Amino acid sequence: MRTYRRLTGVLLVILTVAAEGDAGAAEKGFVPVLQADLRGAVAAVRHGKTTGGAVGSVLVLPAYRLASGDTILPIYIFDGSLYDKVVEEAIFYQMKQVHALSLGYKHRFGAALSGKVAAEGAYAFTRESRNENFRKGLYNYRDVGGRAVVSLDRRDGDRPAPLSVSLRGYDRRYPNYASLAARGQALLEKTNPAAVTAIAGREKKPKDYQGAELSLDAVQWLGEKIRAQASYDVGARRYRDRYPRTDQGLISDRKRFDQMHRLSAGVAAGFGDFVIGLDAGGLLNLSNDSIYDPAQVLHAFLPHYFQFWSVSVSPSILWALPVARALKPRVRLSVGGLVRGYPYRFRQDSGGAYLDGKQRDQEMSVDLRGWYPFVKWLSATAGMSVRVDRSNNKFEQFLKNNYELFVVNAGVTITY
Amino acid sequence: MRTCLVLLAMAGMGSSWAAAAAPLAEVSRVSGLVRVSHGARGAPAQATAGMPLVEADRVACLGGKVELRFTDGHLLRLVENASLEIMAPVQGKKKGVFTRLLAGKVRALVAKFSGNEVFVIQSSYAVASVKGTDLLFDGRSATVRDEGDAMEHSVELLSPQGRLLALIGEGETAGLRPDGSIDQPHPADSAVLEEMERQFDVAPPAGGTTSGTTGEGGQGAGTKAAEAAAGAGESGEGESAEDENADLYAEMSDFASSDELVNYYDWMERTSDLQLGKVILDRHGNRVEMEQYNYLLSTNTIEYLVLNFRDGGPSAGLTAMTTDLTFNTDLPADRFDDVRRGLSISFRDTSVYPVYWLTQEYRSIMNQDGEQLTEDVYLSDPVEIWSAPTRAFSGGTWSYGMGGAQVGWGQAFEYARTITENWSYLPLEHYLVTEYGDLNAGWYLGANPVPDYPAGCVNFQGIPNDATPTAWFLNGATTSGNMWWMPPMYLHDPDFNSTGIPEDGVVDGRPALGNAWFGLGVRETAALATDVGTFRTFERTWYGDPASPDTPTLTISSFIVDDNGNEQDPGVYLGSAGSGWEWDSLLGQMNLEVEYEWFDPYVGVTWLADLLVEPNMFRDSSVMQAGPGFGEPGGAPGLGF
Repeated sequence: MRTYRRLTGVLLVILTVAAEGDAGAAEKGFVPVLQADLRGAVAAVRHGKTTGGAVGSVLVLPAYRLASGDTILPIYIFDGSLYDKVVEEAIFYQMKQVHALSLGYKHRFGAALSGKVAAEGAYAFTRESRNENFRKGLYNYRDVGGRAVVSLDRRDGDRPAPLSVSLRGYDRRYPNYASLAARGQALLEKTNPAAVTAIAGREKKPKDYQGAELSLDAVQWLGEKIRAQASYDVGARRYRDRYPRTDQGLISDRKRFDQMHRLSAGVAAGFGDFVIGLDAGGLLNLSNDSIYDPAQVLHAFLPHYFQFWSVSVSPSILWALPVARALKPRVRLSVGGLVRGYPYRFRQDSGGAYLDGKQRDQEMSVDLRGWYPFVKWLSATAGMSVRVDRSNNKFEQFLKNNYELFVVNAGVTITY
Repeated sequence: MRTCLVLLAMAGMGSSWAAAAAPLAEVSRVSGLVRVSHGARGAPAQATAGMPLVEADRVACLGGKVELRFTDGHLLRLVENASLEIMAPVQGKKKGVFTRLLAGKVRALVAKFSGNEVFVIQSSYAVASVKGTDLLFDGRSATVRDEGDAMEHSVELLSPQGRLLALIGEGETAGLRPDGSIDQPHPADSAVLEEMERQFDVAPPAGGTTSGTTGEGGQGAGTKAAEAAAGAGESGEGESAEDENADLYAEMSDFASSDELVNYYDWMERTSDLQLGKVILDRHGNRVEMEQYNYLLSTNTIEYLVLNFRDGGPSAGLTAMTTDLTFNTDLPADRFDDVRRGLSISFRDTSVYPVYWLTQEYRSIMNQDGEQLTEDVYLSDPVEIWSAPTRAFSGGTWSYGMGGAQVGWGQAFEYARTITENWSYLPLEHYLVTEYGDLNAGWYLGANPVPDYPAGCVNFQGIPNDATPTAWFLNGATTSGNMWWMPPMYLHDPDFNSTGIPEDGVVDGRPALGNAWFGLGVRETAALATDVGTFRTFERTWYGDPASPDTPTLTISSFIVDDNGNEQDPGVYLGSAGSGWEWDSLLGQMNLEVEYEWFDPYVGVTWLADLLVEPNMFRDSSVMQAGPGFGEPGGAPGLGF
């Protein structure tokens, strides 16, 4: 409840500031913009099922510009997907809908400096099993939070080379995800009170956490048509009710705390009708959470189970087709490669027993995609991709680690 | 229809200063040296973003670029050496946006007008009036971008007197030649269009990349924005560099992508839940959740609790399985489960008396209605036997039996038997075999004792059996032969075997790697959970040796329960699709793998199921590697599944 009160307070401040800024404005008004991306898709897993589905997103921003140059930015985003069947190899969701709302206020402090504050919220509906209904998805979640962004509109000659810093705080809760111990507490109290005592009321809501993120972004021009961008993100998550296990399997007294660091960089260069790009990134997730699996003879205790790192690289080439140039039809081919390692997670044999080596995953992909705008606001798009995942973890009873996924999709994008 | 007027002279365009104080536009973007002055003699000031512009204001790009935003969102972009004057919004009978291009080039991105309003760019030579298009005007000629809407996007090129000189369509250019003749509309040179993009574009704010399907939460930076800036943008995704609302699109994209890291993190969590078997789906699409806890119930008893929740099907609800293992002495509080794990990798060493051994194993299974099945097994202390000839302990005896069990929901079943065995014989480990379903009452058949070895028969190790019953098992209908074993239940020394808890390699001269006998892990239980509901109907008698009626048999029975909990036709057994023995060199044991083919009326499909039985009893490869397998003609008889 306190969180909601704080959010309400933030919203009131934003609206008040907006109203004051608007009072003396001679030039103001709504500037609605909209983007939509609607696609149908067919996905096939080699030696597995072929599924059809649809994905779509709609972004709406009825901005309100003030004469002072400031802007009120209410943003609504719908992001949804629907597949006719869960394919555990690659696609978990039969249905997922994310509704996100942001109400921001952007103020310009001068020619080269701007700032934005925003209150944000989101609710995600998921449906994974045939018995879940729209509101009761186990992995439904809701976010409440806020963000502050400061941008330095730096320029390199006449080209923008902005620097920005963003700080976000949020509270994520999974309203339908409660531990089985919590759901069955009444039953356990009657049948096994010792268990209730041992669990001690902990881990009732083990998925909920509070998060914070800090992001730094910078753009630099390396030549007339060579643009580089780099960003660093660090996120921290403090779980409200989740506790690592001890090396004997007991619930410890520490709470789970994770950190994720991401460093990414990209460069793109234009050569006539072509743009050649290269993205690269590295990611490190640190976690103090551990698991204990008494079924394992060896390595029953795995500290830092959720700790992992990854590096990725993705070259791409985009071709502006030499037809109807004004509309910019184009095709892009990109290739991706990623290696992910788990320094504390042992690989498993096909029966699930932990072996001595550590789990290592590889992902490779090829993606071909094209856009053909009919008019400025409407484009047709179609694409196909192949993704190959490989892992030295051979335990695949519930989750495929080694598979080939083929996806073809087509649809339209709308920009208004 | 959008109309653009380009007047060839300034005559006839009288100015009105009536609204001099009202801002008509503002500087929306600026880079480099751009001056703004009021009128021809006003003091110039550096343009800044947000600077309001009124009638008679002049904007001069001395060394940069500037973008002016008019009411209703129209944009004018000027590049170096261009200058422009803001004019009154009413000119004679017309109203709208009126500007005068004093020098250089201007690019106009004109939003759609309503009524008779016009957007006019006037020069010394021409005027353009537009109702919404994208054009480049250098004072003499105009070029119109092709936006795929010829009806709306034409530009009228007019003389100063208002005479129509040319109607310029999309993708066309027209203007005045230096000799004053008219260059009629014709397709625009692509170089000119490219110049519009290159000279007048302002790259949108940085955004994430969309390249590839592989990545870590949108990992990758700058490609998308760089593509736009480099001239081959992303208009199809609404991030067109020339779009007058590019900053707003960028705001949306930023917000949409702001959850990339969080979503990627949650995705990894979700996959971990699957990999661990914590939250999975069974083959019917029902959700299955698993949780597991273990703790010290007392100083010498460990309790393992597995909770299972299914959100649909005949076994929907919360069920639980509890196992209490009681040892002969107090367990070290900081290593209590190491002792238990040590049991599974302990091998008999008759020269050393055990330190830890189980004295009781209590297990209960609770269904979703709170009913419980229980079994309670008591184990004696090991008794050593001194061998006089060798002057060493040659072995010992060990007995176990069941004190009582409730083996059916609501049923009482008393079973009391003590089995005593000389535990110096390695292969003669007795075992308790129980199969549990997914903790589902509907699948439980009750006790199903196997016929004991008949007196005088030769058991599977070729050792003459006496009349003492040597084996029994409790058969709860389950799926893939998940066996629950009681291996040697003692440890040899306080260090949990002479080498401690081994990480790998050899214990007591034998391989230490292997599957856990103690199948209470989430993984094991979840393995049952994914199979249940399908492979739960068959009745099969497995003969140890079909040629000999005296050999023991194994009967596995099950039945189908529909969504209403009623037993249904058990289906049609189509036969064995194959079977074979598999020697596991790591474990030093023989596994039996049987592949059944079934028609399952529950799902109406025919499917194959593997029944993999890991006896975990044959530890001596020299015994089992040779010869045909159990149940095969000529194979060793006995309960060797």
